[in-house]
Parts: sequence; structure tokens; C-alpha cells
Amino acid sequence: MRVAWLLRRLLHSVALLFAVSVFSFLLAHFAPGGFFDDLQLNPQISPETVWQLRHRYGLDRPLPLQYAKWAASAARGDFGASLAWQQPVAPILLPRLRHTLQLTGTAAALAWLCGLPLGLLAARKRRGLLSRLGVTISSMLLVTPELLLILVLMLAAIRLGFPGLLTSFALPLGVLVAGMFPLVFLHTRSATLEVLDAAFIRSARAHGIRGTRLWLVYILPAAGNPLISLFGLSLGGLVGASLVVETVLSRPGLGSLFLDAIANRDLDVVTAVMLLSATCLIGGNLLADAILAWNDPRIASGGSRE
Amino acid sequence: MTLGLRPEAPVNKPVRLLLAILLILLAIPWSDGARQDRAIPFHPPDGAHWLGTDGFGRDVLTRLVAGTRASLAAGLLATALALAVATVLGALAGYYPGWRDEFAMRLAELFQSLPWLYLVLGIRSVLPLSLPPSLALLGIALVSGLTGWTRPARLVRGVVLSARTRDYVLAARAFGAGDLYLLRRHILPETFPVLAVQASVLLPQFILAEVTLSFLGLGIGEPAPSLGGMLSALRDLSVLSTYPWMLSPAVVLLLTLTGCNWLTRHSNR
Repeated sequence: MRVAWLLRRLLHSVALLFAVSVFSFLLAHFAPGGFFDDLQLNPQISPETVWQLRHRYGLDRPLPLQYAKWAASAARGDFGASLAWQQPVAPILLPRLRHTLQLTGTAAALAWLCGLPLGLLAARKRRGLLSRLGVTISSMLLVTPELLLILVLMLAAIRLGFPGLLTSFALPLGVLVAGMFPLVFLHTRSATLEVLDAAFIRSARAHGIRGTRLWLVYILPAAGNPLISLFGLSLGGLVGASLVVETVLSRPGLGSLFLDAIANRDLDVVTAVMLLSATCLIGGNLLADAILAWNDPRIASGGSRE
Repeated sequence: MTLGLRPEAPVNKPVRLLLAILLILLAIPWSDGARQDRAIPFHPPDGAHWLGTDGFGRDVLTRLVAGTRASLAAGLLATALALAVATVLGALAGYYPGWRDEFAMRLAELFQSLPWLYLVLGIRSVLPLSLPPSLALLGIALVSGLTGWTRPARLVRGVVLSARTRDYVLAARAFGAGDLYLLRRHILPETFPVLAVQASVLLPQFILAEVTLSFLGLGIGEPAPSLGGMLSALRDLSVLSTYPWMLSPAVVLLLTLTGCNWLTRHSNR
């Protein structure tokens, strides 16, 4: 039952990925201008040469054929050829992806390691100092755009005399954690608070169940569903979350590669990065669905989840 | 979802803050702040330039007002566009089960399976890289509006789906009312509360989209002022650390977003 449901979700995700690849491909190819436009302005390069270059990369062929060529290349694991780098896309992408994942993965881990316990503690004393302080700080962080946070932290680093921080791992990490922590904390707190009011917790307490057992066996699984979905979202955001941070702090990640590719009209790189970010998002959701189905069998039997 | 935040401020506070910002913007005469005075780059605030001047000797306050106006306009336009698309597709999906429903929902799913900023940049890449100032604002609104319709569309679909079989709708249909009339007079008015809440959620998101795009150099570019464009001057570390008045767009942005956030929390209740 659950396996069949998960299999269906998996198939659905694969179909979705195919749609995303077509969509990204079309977006990249409908962009006005092209990689060879600058060459056309150069009087020393004849229009024939430019035409030959376009022909060599197949840019003069009909779009369906170009997509088929790209898909074949993706199936080989190359994901097309970069015009700017003169090589397959995958070897360019992988080191950038590693940089990005190191940053976002650490940030997500830190955010969950702090947010989950603190959220639980805050829910335990809902009018307590931790609860009020946490909610205030979190809601302030939620409103503050990432961009401003980066600027303020950069300013602080310079003013307080730590210019080394600007090129460090800690500054982008701090920005990302500050973006993820409030969500984890607030969701944990509110999900737990909802469960604490439930009748079965009162009965469990009345039966003398308390302490760690009450929290880990009774409360956490019951409060788990929104948290699992959020966990899936933060896994899914691992590729996409750091674009602004990476660009502003000029770190060599996927974000800066993507922006350069858009500016250069490096079509296959644009398509590949968009597909990669979507794969991560869809994969995160799928994983969350799998954990949800395991935690709460009702979900797998209840049809589609909206 | 309110995330258990306490909505404590009275309802009219956020509205008043937003109105105040809008009034200040409208009260100051129209000017794009393009007048340069190369003799006074990065002049500190004084009587003539209340918020100092930028690197080209342009008055920061004038540009800030014009820039906020541009950013707000882009945000409002994008919100209107997103809600329009959401209403049409959501109503189609909810009212006509079958291929139209399937099509709209699959399309929404496609849009939602890309990280938001990647989707924005992907759609942005279809427009020319540098847009003329007059078109840039429309272009940015178009791009961000096209990314934000999915969630409101799903919500509209849900409302329409349940309103479709209400007794008064069935009664009107029995009297011979057509589909369009039913949608317009009986069904779509039910979606207004949902749309209002969604508008308050989307507006700050779209303002931020303009700021991010312009900051990255893909939005409203020089010489036209916008919040994001003005903030991008701060990417130069020496500007960021030496001239604090250049941070004023950040303050305005934060105030605007806080106002929007209050509005959301109150319209959610």
C-alpha cells in the first residue's frame, strides 16, 4: 500500500522533472540575443564565421531537435555543452554544487540542531522567557530580507575590525542559518503547542507518563507532520537557498554560475542549473512524503496530499 | 498560518504605517533624482541634501522617494498580475473539472517545483538583459507576477470548487444563469477574502523580487532609481563602510516589509 503509493509519487516526480527540463530549455532558448552576439559586432569576424559557429553548436536547428540533442547529452551525464567554457556542463557544475551544498548543508544542519530543541523547550513553557524571546527574535529575522542581513553583517565585520570575516565561511553561514532557524523554531513551537492541548496527552499525563518518554514517544511523533514537511522543504532548498549570499559575497557556487550563464546566454548551463535546483526541490518533497507515510500511515491511504 | 505569533497591534496600525509611506511618497513632487553634481560625491547629509548625496553627487532623498515609488509600483503591479492569473486559472480549474482543472494544476505544480529565485531569474532571462527604464518596471512586474500565481490559484480553485455546488448557485443555474454569469455574480465574490490575504502575502514578496533583481543588475538599472538599484551601490565595500547615509534605502525597505507583515498577520485572522 505504502510502497505502491510511494512508487506512484516517484513516477510523478520523474514526469515533473521531464516537464521542468522542457520548461527550462524553452526559457533559455526563447531568451533574446545569443552567446555569439558579441562576435557579430566585431568587424574582423565575418558573418559566415558566426554562422558556422552557430551551426557547429546546432543553434540553427529547430527547437525540438535541439532539445532531443540536449536530452541525449543529459542521458550520457553531460547535460549539454557550455558555450562559454567549451566543455560539457556536468564537470563545470559538480565543483560548484559541492561548494553550495557544503554551505547550505551546514546551515540547514545548524538551523535544525538549534531550532528543534529550542522550539520544544519554548513550547514547554509557553509564556516563559525563552518562548517570548525566541518568538520575538524569530519574527524579526523572518521579516528581515537576506540581502539586508548580509549588508548589515558585512558592515559589522568591517566596523568591528574583522575584515577577514568577509571572505570566510562563517558570514554566509550565519546569514543562511538566520534565514532558516526562525522557520524551524516557530514551526516546532507551534506544532508542539497544538499537540500539548490534545486530549491524549492529558490522558498520557494522567497515566503517569512524563519526562523524556512523554516528549519523544507521545508528543514529537504527533507534532511531526508539519516538521517533516518543513524538513523536506529545507532539503529541497539546499541548492536554491544560497544564490543571493553567494553572489554578494562572491563565493564560487551554483548561484554565481547561474547568473553568469544568464548574462552570457550560455543556454545549456542555464537549463542544467534550473533542472538541478528543481531536482533537489522535488527530491526533498519526495523524501518528506516517504517519511510522512512512515510516520503517519493515514497519508499514504488518503489519496493525494494538497 | 500564523505560526503562533501573537497579533497584538491594533488593526489600523499597519494600515497607517503603509498609508504614511504612500502619502510621503505622493506628497513629494515627482522627480527622478537624475540631476548630478559631480563636485560633491558622497556629500554627508546637510541642509541642502537631507540624506546626503551618492557617488554621482545625486540627492539620496530624492532618489529614495522615486526609488521607493518604483519598487512599490512594481510590487503592486506584480501582485495585481499574479492575482489576475490566479483568478482566471483557479476559477477555470475549480469550475470545470476535467482537462482544464488538470492542465491548470499541473502548470502550477511545474512552477512550484523550481526554487523561487531560480524561477524568477529563469523567466527574467527571457527578457533582454538590460531593459530601458520605462519598460524595466513593467518587465520586473511581469516576471515576478508570473512566478507568484500558483498558491492563490490553488486557493481560488478550492473556494470555487466548494461554491459551485452551493444551493444558491444551483438555484441560479436552474433559473437559466450561464457559466460566466454564475462565476461573476455568485462564485468569484466568494474568493475575495482569499485574494485579499494573498495580496498581502504577495506584495512584500514581489517588492523583494524587484530589490533582488535590481541588486543583481537584472532589474531596474541606472540611472532610474529603485530600492534594489540604490542598495547595489553598497556592494562596494568602501561605500558600505564609509557612508552610512547610503544605507537609507535599507531602512525604508525594512519599514515597508514590516508594514506588509503586520498587514498579513491581521488579514490572516
